[in-house]
Amino acid sequence: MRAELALAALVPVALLVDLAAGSRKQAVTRAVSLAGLALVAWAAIKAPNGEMFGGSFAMDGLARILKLSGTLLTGLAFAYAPRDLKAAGALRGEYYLLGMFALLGVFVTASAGSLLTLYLGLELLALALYTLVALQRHCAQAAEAAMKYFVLGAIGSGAMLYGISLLYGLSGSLLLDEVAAQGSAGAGSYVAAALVLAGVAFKLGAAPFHQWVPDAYQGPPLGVAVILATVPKLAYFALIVRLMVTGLPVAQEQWNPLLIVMAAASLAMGSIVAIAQTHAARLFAWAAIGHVGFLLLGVAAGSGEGLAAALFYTLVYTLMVAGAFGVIIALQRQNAPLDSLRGLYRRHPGLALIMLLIMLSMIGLPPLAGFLAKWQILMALIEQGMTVLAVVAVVFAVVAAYYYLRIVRLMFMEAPEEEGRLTPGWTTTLLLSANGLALLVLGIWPNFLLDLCRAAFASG
Amino acid sequence: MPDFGLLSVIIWLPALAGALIALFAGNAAGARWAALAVSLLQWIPGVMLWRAFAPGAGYQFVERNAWIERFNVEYYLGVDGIALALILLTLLLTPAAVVAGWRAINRRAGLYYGALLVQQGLMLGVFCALDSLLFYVFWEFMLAPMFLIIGVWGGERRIYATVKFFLFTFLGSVFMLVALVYLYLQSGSYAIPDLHAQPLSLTEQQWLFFAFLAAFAVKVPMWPVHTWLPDAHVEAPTGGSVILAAILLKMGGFGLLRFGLPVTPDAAAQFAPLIVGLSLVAIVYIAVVALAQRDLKKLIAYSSVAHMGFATLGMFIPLSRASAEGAALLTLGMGGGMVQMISHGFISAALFMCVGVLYDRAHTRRISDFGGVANTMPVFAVLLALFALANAGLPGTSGFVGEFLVILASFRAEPLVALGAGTILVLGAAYSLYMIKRVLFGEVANEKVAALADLDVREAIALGGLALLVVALGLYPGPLVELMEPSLDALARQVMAGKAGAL
Repeated sequence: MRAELALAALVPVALLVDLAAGSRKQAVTRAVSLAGLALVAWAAIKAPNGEMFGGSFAMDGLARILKLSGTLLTGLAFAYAPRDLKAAGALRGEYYLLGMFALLGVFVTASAGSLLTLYLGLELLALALYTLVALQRHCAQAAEAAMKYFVLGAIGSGAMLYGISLLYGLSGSLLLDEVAAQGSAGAGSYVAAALVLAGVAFKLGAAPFHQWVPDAYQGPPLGVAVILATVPKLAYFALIVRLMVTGLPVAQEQWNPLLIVMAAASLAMGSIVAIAQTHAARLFAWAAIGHVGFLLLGVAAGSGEGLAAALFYTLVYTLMVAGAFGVIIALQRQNAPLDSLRGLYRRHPGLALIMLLIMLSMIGLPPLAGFLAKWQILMALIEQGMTVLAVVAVVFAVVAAYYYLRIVRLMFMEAPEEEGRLTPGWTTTLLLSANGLALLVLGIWPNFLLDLCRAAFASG
Repeated sequence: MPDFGLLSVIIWLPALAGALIALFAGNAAGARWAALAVSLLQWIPGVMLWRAFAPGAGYQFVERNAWIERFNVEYYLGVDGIALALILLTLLLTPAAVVAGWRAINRRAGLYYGALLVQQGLMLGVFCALDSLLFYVFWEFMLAPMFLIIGVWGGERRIYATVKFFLFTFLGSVFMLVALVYLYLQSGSYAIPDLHAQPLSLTEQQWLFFAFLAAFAVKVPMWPVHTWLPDAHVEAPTGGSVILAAILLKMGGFGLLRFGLPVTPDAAAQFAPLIVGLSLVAIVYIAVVALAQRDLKKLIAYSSVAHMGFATLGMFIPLSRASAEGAALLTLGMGGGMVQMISHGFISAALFMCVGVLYDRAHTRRISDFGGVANTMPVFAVLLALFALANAGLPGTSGFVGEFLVILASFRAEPLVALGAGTILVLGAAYSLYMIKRVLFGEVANEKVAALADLDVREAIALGGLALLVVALGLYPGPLVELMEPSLDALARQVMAGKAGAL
């Protein structure tokens, strides 16, 4: 709870600092926010395990790792984003405030022990995100994206809330443990599971509920998209674990086939449609749908190993995406068409090599972290006898390789559109290098993170 | 206590040096010399390995460290005679690949030579790995430097070629990953010796065999999944072609010997006729295709496919029918396949370098653009003729030894197949001699040919060295055979014993 309180206190402090510093000195707000996030991370490490509010709120291994990762990703986004936001005319103190509100939503969701806290956290996160997408409010494209995101997100939330109310009606309790204990595999729980799963799929952007994703990524400035593409994924992972795996274990036989179909459809949609994209954020949006499919397969394996693999996948994937958006922001091109990556190696070899690492990790080339993530999911699937699904997954991984290779091709094998060296600034270069190299380091020395992920599901 | 030794040195020295060159090399000359120095320096541990290796003593120079503890993955290296032969091939040929780009690569030379050295380290890693996941790591990451080498410094259609290369091989490899995971879940280990010992039912073996075949057949490449190779070769820069033909393809054959045969011996025996059939198609049909080529590089690329067909033929023909000779025949066949692969490594590297020599000077690879080259480049002409004849299997060159052994093994197993395989001696001679006739002999065809300058010192040393190796192996293949024989023999016994019976 300490970390949540620290974060909740940080937001008004940052707001006051922002007011005092005036609209021209966002650097101060940023510095205060980043320092505050470091404190929050420390608090999250130190916070003891245990339950509060009669089990509505729980700190455990899973919550801790998601909170730490969320704080790190928010920090990275705050570091990468200002350059892009400034160019888009959307650099305001609110960006940091909303980013931290979204993070608070992630924190609450990650620790949720009851249906109520879960929904509370999710809506806090969602409202902050809707507003973030609309940050560049005079831009029609951003407004359109925000509107779509809001309306579809509300439908998703509605479906989930309906499912949650059914669960409450069936079990007579809001606590997830009791919901699970009271549950029976009847028609009621089937409908509830289907509704909840639809809500989860909306949030995650899994097919067939994925239509909002490309617009939501492309509409707002990249500085907002980088948050949208990374931080919330952690909360949605917590959501699926807490609500489906912890809350609805009896109905797993009923919802697992739905999950498998959604995962396979996401893999197919994401891998195939992304091939035709010409816009960087849009490409990563479709790619995200594919990746979500892959990590859902880990959940669908239905074992502790599978969940640990899916958690590892989520952590590594969000780190890769943060780095990829970081590089694209450093290109300083409004709207970031894919062509802006052309000839990057000539304009800034370091950035191109970092992006190369990230793309190879996305493809799943060993020994990068992205490979270990995919490999663990495969192991979990085959262990459960789902070898056919494993084969489907690797085949779509090969399809997906095509568009990551296209990015490598643009960077190394094409002439730049505009000459002149890029000057991303040394802090950005340093951070991006750390971000990219982390994928290699995690791939070569994975034991620590693997053990953390496994320990988070030790009882599973 | 961490356990590292010579094998780690030969893998990581070029890999790290390559990364440093790619990041920090200031100019092209510095990068070239640094790469040449590193690739020659590698000969020192190479010689140490060769001297200290005791044939017949199983896996040697073993290094075993825990890596990913939760899944029992180890950093586990070691070599037997088969792997060591290919390691020596790699060490010998890398300097030639460096020299091959000396004139042509001036743009982003640091990245090129860096990628080349990283590639060398990864290839050596494949031959050294005794943990199957570690094997997969080296195997798969190798695609990245090659993707860049073809895609950045290649010819006109380089992007098409390099994407095709990457996706073809990647698609094959992922099935191997699924197979490895399945084997791990059965045996609880990723260590290759454990996989060799793991009993498997025939049905399991059949699936696993095809998963391995998907990965290795693409790499060899066997007909009909060879189509990426001519594209990749034609577009790749000379150094890339040398690495590709001389070493990368050998990895497919090596994989079959490491995984395909010993892990799934019964399925391998069951499907041997299929592999033999595909190999024969490669030998006969692809050789005819080579005859019709107008581009020098394409001709050599197709001839590579045909020759690699010989290697796979040697490995599988003894399995295709039960024979009284059993393991001895399999040793002979696999030995022939290995000698064929090593010899083809030298010859194809030399031939691609010869094409590179011509291309650097005349900027064309069309056979019809040449004619009478022997008049202007006499030294070059002698060497090219030698390599072309070795490619056709001239006795006294290394090309003859491998083909002879494979045909011998085929004859003992199935005389009709030997007859089919023997056509390569005719067809190989046909396309090689026809090429020599059109390129080297006759009147000087045009001004370009008239202006050709003969080999410079570096090219002469590299090609002369390869010529010496080709002749030496042809006249006295004893050391190579002795190096591999005990390992091949042990492997043959293991394959012949089968697995399904143990269940």
